[in-house]
Amino acid sequence: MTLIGQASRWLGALAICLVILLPVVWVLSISFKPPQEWLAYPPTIIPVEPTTSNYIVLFQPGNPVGGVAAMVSSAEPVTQALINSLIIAPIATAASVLIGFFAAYAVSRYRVGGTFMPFFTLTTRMFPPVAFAVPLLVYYRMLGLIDTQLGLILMYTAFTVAFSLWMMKGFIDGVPRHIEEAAVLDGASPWRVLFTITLPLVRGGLAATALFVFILNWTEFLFALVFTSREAITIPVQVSHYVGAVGRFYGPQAALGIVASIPVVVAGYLIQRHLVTGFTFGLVRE
Amino acid sequence: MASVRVEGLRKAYRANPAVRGVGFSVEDGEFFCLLGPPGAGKTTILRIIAGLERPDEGEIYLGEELVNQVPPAERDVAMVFEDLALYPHMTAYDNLAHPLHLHKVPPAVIDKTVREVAKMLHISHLLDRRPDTFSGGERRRVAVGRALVRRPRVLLLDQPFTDLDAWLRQEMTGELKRLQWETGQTMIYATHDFEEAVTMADRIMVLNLGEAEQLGSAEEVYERPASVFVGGLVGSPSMNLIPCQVERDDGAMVLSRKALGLRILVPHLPESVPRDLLLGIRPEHLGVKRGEGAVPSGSASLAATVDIVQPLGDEQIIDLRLKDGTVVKMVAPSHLELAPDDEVVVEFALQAVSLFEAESGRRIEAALVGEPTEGKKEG
Repeated sequence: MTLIGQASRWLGALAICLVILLPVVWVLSISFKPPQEWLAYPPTIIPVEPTTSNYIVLFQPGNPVGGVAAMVSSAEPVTQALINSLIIAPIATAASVLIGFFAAYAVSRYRVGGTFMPFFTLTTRMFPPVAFAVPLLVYYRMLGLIDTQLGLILMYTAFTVAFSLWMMKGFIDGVPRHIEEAAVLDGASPWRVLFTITLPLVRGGLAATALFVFILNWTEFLFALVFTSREAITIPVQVSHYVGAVGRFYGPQAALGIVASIPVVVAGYLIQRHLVTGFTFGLVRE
Repeated sequence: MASVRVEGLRKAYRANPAVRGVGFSVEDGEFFCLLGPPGAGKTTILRIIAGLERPDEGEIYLGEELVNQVPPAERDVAMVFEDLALYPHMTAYDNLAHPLHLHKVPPAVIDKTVREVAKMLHISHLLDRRPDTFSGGERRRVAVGRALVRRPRVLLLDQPFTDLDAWLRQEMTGELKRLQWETGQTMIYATHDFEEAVTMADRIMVLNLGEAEQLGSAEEVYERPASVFVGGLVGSPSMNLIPCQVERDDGAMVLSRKALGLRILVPHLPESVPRDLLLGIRPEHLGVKRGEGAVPSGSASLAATVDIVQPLGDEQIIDLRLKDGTVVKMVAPSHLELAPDDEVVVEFALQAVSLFEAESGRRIEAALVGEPTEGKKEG
């Protein structure tokens, strides 16, 4: 390859990186800016007077640092929302992926529900979520699930299980049926085949599905806003609280955005290894 | 180890019949081969014996036990799949040990058995590795090992060597034959390759479209094919077929093809025989000579033109065009120097000829005696 070709490839890669990373850099930048710089023109990437006060007031709304406190002193500390999110999202993800895996196995191997049922599960995603909000609000009020962690866990599980099913079905379909039949002839029971043969082979797919569903749950806003008020609020709802009569508090919002993205980045990094392993270890057929 | 008996097996997928009334029995310790083209029902029969499919009709006996209702895990049958189906996430050792673990064999015995089988199959050096690092031949050895390790009542092999290179396939079939001889394992081997069948099997069942065409030893299937189909499937190149008619000549039955000047006396042909027949002769049983000459008794001769010559090393395949345009193939030694357009005379021994009904393709048992003397030069 010529030098020019090489150079243009690098430039292209750089451009793509900029497009994708600029919003992240911008949020990071704002999270370290004092209030007067949030909307300053011309904007600067590097804060002129960098400050950590945006982060401090997240946890101590009354702390008089950097002039932000006066704006957000009415907000709750972020701790409760953080704990809620850290409980709700992982549990809902685990439940969704677990149910999705078993359902996908049943659909893929035993044709449970024919062609209708698997497709029918997708209907939960065919309507705007807000269409479900009002009737569900009535049920939740009767069941006493409003503003509870359990309420959101159930809701998130129900709404993501269709994704889990379809993603896992794709991975399970990819496992050659002969491998399972060989195990049956070896003397394995159906459960044993499922756990010792199929499950290890779709481990990568399971990880990918879990990551995908976790991100959905972690960032979900609408249901969290409608079905919680105080006890069970999640981080996306907390972000929306940093708005006052004098405008939006971009600094704390950006700081919380950065804090909230840390678990996802960490989870993604941990799972990455499993994603690249590939589900059949490169052995499907010659 | 046990014998296998299959009776009146029928299986259809939706409306498509895959197996249509097949029955056979395999002796304890026999190497039995199901031979047929793709779609003949070989795989379906193996899967039914294994219990992976339920037959629509028919019975399967392992030994004296009727196993129709026995689940596959309890049938004590092992199978080598066409795609081998090794467990990709387990080492070769674990692949081999898997069936033993499931049968609650004590760990010490498992270890000993796995190493023994690995040694027998020359895969001891692979035991710690995963299948994705193996060559095609190594994978097949591991797959055969996994099937053999617990000495099942019957070992089913679904054309496991078909997509191998010719030399490797020969090596594997040779080893499988040796293994079968050493262990006395009852084996049923499905293949579409007649060479595999002929080299390994004690007996061969030829299948076509879910029905049995012929059951017999390799020699029987080769020498006396029960139908045009078997003649075409067994042997390479396929059996030559020359259309001919039955005629009466002074009360004697004569097989004739006027356009070729062919007249062969067939004294004991049954009266019910249809008029149109096919004369089948294998390419290996043809001979040629240049120019006219006395035809040895018990032989027939036909004039022909050399069409194509394909050298194959120590032998060659020659396409010969007969006078009526029929092309027959001949396998000849390579020292025979023939070139396209050479005029030759094709000869064949009458006892090597098979006769078939043209319409049904079924074999007719008949002794061919020779050419009636007065009709020899006709045409």
